[in-house]
Amino acid sequence: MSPVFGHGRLRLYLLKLLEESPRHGYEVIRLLQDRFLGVYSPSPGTIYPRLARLEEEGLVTHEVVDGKKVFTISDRGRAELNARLDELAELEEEISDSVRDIAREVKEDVRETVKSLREELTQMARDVRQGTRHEERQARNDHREAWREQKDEWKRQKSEWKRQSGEWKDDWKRIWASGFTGEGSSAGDDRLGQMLAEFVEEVRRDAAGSRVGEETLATAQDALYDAARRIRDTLR
Amino acid sequence: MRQWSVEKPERLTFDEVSRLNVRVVAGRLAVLAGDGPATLEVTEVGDAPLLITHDDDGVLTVTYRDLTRDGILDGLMSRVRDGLAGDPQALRASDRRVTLTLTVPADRPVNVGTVSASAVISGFRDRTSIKSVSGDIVLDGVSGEISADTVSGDTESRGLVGDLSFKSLSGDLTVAQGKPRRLSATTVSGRITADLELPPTGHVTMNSVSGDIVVRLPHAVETDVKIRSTTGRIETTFTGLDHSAQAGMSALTGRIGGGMASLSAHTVSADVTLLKGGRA
Repeated sequence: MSPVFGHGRLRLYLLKLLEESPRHGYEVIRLLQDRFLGVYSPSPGTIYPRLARLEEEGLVTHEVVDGKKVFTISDRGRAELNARLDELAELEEEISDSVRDIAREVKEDVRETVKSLREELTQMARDVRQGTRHEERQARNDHREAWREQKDEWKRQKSEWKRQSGEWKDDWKRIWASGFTGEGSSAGDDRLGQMLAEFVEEVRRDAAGSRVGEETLATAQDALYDAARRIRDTLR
Repeated sequence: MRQWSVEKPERLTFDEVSRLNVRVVAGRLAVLAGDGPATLEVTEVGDAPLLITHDDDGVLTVTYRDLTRDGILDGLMSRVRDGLAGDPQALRASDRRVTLTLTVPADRPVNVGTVSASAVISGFRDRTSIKSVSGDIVLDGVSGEISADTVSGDTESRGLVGDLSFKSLSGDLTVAQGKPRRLSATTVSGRITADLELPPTGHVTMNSVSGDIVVRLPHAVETDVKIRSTTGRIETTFTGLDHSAQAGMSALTGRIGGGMASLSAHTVSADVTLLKGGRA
């Protein structure tokens, strides 16, 4: 970006910006950033001395408004600008070239990021699948062995069951007496999560078309607090 | 209202643009956010002149005279989707090749439609919507409400934040460094690749017939997961999710961490892979 502003061209561009309208230094810096979409951002340390220099040469004047120096182009400044119109046109040409370059860079940059992400994730996905296939093969090999072990296991369990059936009856009575707390809570929990997520999406969709201000937020906060309290009450 | 007919390379500057509409056919389009005055730079324009209008409400429209009726491109796109060719006369790409670069303030709504032109859109914060038939779409650092709709064009994105909606027939979708409050992606045969950071109430739904889906979520994500596929395989590197497989339907469901974010995906024959990101 630096070649754009060689050979007194920053000076020319500053005059152009001040010719459009009187501005204070901060505004000039921001405009330069905007013109270059943030790629060229001059520091106050670059711009303020330049403006002071232009003032010494009588090309701009300043007045203090609300404690800030506002610079205005003078007739001499305007004369210099008019004398250098060709140069200015050339400069603007280069600036739009650099904006185009920025567009191209953005595109190349995103494409590069996206390409490497896709390669990375595709490779990871492939590894996961291969891992699973390997496990499946392993599982088939282990199957015979497992079957033999399973038969032995069943024999052992048969005698174990006999022994336990006595205790089991007692357990059953105890569970029956105490009720089924905890049963089905996992499925219920899932549905609650889904309901909450759906609620959020619905509200978001409604809110999408309009501006959400402080008042809406306050109302929402109250309603949510209320709803949470009611749900909590039923959980006790 | 002011109007320009642009037949040769030209550069225009507009004060106060409230929203931007662009309808082009072929070539290249870049729309960048910048807080200065809105600018349009035409570096290439085919035989047909571009029509630029800047109306009294500040709406800036870039289009062709015969595309000005609202929704004509939508009609065209649905015809292409239905497998009927559009009017070849209206679509002769060589007459309509343009290279355009627009800069508009970041907080303005942007609405873009292209047939085969590629589009780069960067930095906007309000409502950004783009439709293309075969043109590729690149989105960078866009937030707010974003929708991208293509037939065969790919959609590539980086750093998107907010409500995201994607549709494609066969175009691939890639989301790099995405942080969706809501993401909905629907495709027939396009591949979906997404590297996402899910906010606490993020809501992600993906539907695909035959385009594979690969999603990566951060190591410490908190979300409900509900993935179903008729004949595709479902894999994950997260632990603690339930795999189930019945005739004609396999599923991966459960909850990672707490939270109320949700991720759901449905496919017919496409594989789905849910990957766990590395420790930050």
